Amino acid sequence: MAVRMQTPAIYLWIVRAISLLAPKEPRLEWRREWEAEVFSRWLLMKKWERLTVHNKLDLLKRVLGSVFDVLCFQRRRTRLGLVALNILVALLIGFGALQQFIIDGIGDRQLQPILLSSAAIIVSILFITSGIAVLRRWPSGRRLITLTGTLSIVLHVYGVLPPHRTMGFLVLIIGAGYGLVMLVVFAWYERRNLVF
Amino acid sequence: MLYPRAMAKTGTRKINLSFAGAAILQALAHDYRYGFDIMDVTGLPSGTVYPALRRLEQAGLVRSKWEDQDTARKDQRPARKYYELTSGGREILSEAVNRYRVLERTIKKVTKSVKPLRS
Repeated sequence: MAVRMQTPAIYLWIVRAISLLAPKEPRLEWRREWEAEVFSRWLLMKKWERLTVHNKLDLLKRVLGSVFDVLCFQRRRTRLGLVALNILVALLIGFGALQQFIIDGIGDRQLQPILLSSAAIIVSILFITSGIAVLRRWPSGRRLITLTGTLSIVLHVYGVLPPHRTMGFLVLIIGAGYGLVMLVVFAWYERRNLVF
Repeated sequence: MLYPRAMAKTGTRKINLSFAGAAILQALAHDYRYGFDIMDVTGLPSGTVYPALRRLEQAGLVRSKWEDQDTARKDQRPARKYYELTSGGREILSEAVNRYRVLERTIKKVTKSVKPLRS
């Protein structure tokens, strides 16, 4: 026989666990507010005999949504994290591109690696500029991020496809993957007014 | 731009009110004062409602209070935090409603002039 959950304990535990992500200062009040809301909703559902699976799932969805609420407390930290990640990817791409530019381009005097690595250097500079744009909240930041993400995807996919194949699949994952993640994450953050 | 935004001024400050923000202020104006009730009436997720409430509070459009302990005890539940509109919030809301009304009228006009693909 299936055991039916008749207390909001699990939801309250989730709220408590998520509250650990909140900064110390507002944590207690945040937790108190969420616990009171969850408890009151549970009592209401019980009173109206509406403790259905659908309503329980809806409550769980709301409780899990509190993660986004907590992340909003961490605006500055989240922004700094994104900037640091941008610079790290920029350095990885830039270092690889510079190596290719010197060895294959200048050393072996091949035109294709010179063009590709030059484009990669531009993308890595754009990554750093996007990071600064996020940090300094430039008005043109949104456009810059879209441009950087799109360029990174196009460049890395192009570099991996035949007949060029000068880039490895790891570079494709880092460059194109991060470009895509960047576009998605910034769109999501922008929706919640976290970045700009 | 993901949401149409209503620009309004309170004193010297400019407030960029998103559609979600306007919907929350509207819910508060209709006496839905708790976070979960606002979610029910606006259909917005918790990850949007609570951060928006906090931003609106910081902008001085909304204020929050803890309800009376005795009332909560009588209902055998913990005290809840409720939100209410400030006078600035009411002002901004009426401006936003007017703007969205104009937007709604414009959209209706545009959609009327567009012929449907299939009859």
